[in-house]
Amino acid sequence: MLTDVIFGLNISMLVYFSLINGSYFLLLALSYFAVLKYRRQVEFEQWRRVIQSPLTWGVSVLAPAFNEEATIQESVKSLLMLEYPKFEVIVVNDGSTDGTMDTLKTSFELHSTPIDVDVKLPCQEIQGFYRSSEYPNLIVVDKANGGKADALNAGINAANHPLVCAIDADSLIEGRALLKVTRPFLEKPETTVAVGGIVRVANGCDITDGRVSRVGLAPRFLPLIQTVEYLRAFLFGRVGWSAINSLLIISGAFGVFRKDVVIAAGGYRLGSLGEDMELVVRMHRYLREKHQKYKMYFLPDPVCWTEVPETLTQLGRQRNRWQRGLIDSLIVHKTMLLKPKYGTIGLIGMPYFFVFEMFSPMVELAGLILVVVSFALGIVDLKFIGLFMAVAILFGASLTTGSVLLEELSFHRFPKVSELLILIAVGFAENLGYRQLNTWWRAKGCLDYLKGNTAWARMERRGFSKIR
Amino acid sequence: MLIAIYTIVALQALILAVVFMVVAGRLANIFFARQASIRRRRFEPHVLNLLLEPSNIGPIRDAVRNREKRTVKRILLQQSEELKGEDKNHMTLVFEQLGYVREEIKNLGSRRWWRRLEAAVNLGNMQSYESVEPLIRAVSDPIEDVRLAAVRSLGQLGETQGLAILLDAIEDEDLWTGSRIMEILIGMGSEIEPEIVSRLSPTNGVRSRKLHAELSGHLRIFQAIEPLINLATDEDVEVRRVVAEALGRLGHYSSVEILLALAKDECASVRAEAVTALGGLGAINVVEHVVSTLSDIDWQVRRNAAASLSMLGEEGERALKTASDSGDPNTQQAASHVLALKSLGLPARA
Repeated sequence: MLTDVIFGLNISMLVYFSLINGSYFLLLALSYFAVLKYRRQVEFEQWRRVIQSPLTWGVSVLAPAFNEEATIQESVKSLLMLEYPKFEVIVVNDGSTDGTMDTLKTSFELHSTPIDVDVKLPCQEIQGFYRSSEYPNLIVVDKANGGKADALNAGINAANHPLVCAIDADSLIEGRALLKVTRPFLEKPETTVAVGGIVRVANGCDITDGRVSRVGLAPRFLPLIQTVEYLRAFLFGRVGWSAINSLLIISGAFGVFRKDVVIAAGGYRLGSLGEDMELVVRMHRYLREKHQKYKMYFLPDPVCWTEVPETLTQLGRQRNRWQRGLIDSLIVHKTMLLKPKYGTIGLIGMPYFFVFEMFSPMVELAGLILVVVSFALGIVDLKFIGLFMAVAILFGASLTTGSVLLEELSFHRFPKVSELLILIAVGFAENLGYRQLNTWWRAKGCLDYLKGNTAWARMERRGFSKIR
Repeated sequence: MLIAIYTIVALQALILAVVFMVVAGRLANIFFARQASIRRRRFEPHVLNLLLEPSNIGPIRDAVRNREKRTVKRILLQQSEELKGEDKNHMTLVFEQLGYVREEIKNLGSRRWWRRLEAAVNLGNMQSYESVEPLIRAVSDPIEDVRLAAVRSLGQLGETQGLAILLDAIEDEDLWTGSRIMEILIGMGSEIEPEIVSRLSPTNGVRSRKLHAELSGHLRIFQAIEPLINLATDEDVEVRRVVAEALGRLGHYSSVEILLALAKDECASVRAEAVTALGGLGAINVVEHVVSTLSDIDWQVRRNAAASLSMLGEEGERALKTASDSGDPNTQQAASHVLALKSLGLPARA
C-alpha cells in the first residue's frame, strides 16, 4: 500500500515537471511569434523621426542608489548620454553610508537647492535636493534610508515628466533604449501604462565610457549560466506573458510607467522585497477594478546591461530575496486569484505564478528527495531515475536552446557562432547541479519568508570597468 | 514507458534541429552579408555615376541581373534619402526605369503585411506619381503600420488626398492612433493650416477637438486663435488643457483674458497649462494674477507659476523674491526653488 502511494507520488512529480516545462514550451511558442512581429514592426522605424517628434513623452529616469560608490559616476554619466529628446535623471541617494553622495557632488558639480517635491507618495524624510550646474537635467535627492521602494517613491515625488523610468543605479541603459521602450506610449497613448525592457548580463562585455562597446560572454561559469537564465526569462518568459497582456513582472532594473497611474495605484509598497513585481500586480488590480482599458508591454529590444553576482554566496542571497519578493507580492494580492473580474491576470497569470513559481522550489526539492529515497527503498528502479533526469534535463536544455534560437532570429547580439554554441552547452550543464542548487536557494527563500525574514541581500559591485 | 522514450527522442531531435538551425542560420547570414558587401562595392560607383549623369542608365540596367537587383535598390534608396530637388527627380526616374516602382506597387498587394509595409515605405522614398493610386488603396489596409506608412508616403509625395484621409481618420479612434496621425500632419507643414482651422469646431467629437487644437499649437497656426478661444470653455477637461497649451505655444497677446480664466479652472492640469502659457506671453500685466496661483493647492500649478514668473522680466523676479519670504510654505518653496535654479543658470522648467 505505502509502496503504491510513494510510486504514485513519483509519477505525480513526473507529471508536475512535464506540466511546468510544457507551459514553458507554450510561452516559447507565443514569444516566437511576438518577437518576430516586433522585429518586423521596428525594422522600418526611423528613430531620428521619433527623436524630432514634438509628441514624444517626457521621461524622468529614477536611479535609486544605496552605497553605489564604485559604479555611480559611470552609471549616471551613461544615463545622461541617453538619446532622448526630453528627459531628466533623478538619482535618489537612499541614505548611503559610503562615499556615494560625495562622489556625486564632486563628479557632477552639484549645488544644494531648496527642496521641491510633490509629496504624493510616502517616503522617508528628504534631507537635501541638488542640481548640477553642468548637467541641467540631473537632479539628486538625498534622503534618509528607507529601502528601494521608498527611494523610488521619493524619485516619483520629485519627477517633472509624465513618464517615470525605474532603473537600478548600477545598470547601464543602451543609448537608444529609452526611445525604443517609450514607443508604445507614442503609439497607443490612451492605453499604454507600463513597458519593460530586456535585462542582459554585462559580465564579459567590454564597456567604454558607460556604453557596452563589445558584447561577449563571461569567462566564469556562474555569470555564464546567468546569461542563459536571463535570456530564457526575458526573451521567452516575459515576451510570452506580454503577448496575452498578463505580464506580472517588469524588472526593477528597467521599466517605464505612467506617473499618474503609479500614483493613483499608491506607488511602490514600502518595505516590499519584490517592489517591482508588487507594483505591476497592484497596477493591474487597480486598473481592472476601475474597468479601464490598458496594456502593459515587454519589449525584447531596448536593453539594460547589469552586473550579475560571481560568487555562489551572493547569488544564493539574491535568489533567496527574489523568491521572498515573489511570495510577498503574490500573498498581498492573493484575492485576485481565480477571480474572473481580473481577466487573464486572475485566471491565468496569478494561478501560474502560484503553482509554477511560488510552490515550484518546494515541489522540486521534495520531488528530488522523493525520487532518491524511493530508489533507495527499491520502489523505483534505475530506469525510472534515468527517465526522470532525462526529462528534466532535456526539457530544460531544449528550452534554453529555443531561447538562443529566438535571440539568433531576432537580435544577433552575440557576434560569434562559438558563443551561441557555448550558451547551448551551458543550457545542458546548468541542469547538472546548478538547477538543483537554485531550487535549494529558492526553497530556503520560502522558509525564510515564513520565518518573517525581510532582509535585503547586499550585492558587492566591482564596477563595470572590472567585471571582465 | 514507451511514451516517455518517444518524448525523450523527440526532445533530442528537436534540440539537434534547433542547434543546426542556429548554426546554419548564422553561417548563412555571414555568407550573405559578405556577398552583399562585395556586390555593394561593385555597384556603388555605377550608382554614384548615375547621379552625376542621370541619362547614363544603360550600364547599370545591363548590370542589374535578378541577383543584384536588391543590392542596387538598397544603394539607390539610401542615396535618395539624402537628395533634394532636381537630383531627387532624377532618382525617381531611375527607380521607374529600373522597374523598382512597379515591383513595390506589386508588393503592396502581398499577403505578408511586412512586405506591404516595406513597399509603402519605399514608395514614399521613390516619390513616383505612378504610386499615388496604389498608395491611396493601401490607406485601407487592415494593418495600421501599413496604413500609416502609406499616408506618410502620400505626404512625402505632397498629395492632398493623403491629408483628407488623415483628417478624417482622426475621428476614427478604433482604426487610427491619434499621435501617429498628428506626427505625420505636423511634418506636412503650413499647407494644411486652413483645413485644420476649419475643423476646430465645438460640434466635432472630443477626440477631433483635442487633436486639432493640439495641432494648431504645434504648427503655430495664428488663424486658429479665435476658434481656440471658443473651445476654452469646452466641457471636456482634456480639450481645455490642450487649448491652454496651444494658446501658450502661439503666445499671442489676444489670449491673455482667456488664459487668466483658464488659470482659475476647476481642474489642476488646466490651471497648470494656463499659468505656463501666461509666462510664455511675457506680458507684465499678468504678474499679479500669476502670483496669486503660487499658493494653489496643486504642486504642478505652483511650480509652473514660479517658472512663469521667472520669465516675466524684472517685475516677475521681484514678485518671486517677495514670494520666497512668504509665510505660506508652499508659495515659499516654489518661489525659492526657481530662484535657486536661476542663480545656477538652469532653466526653471523641466
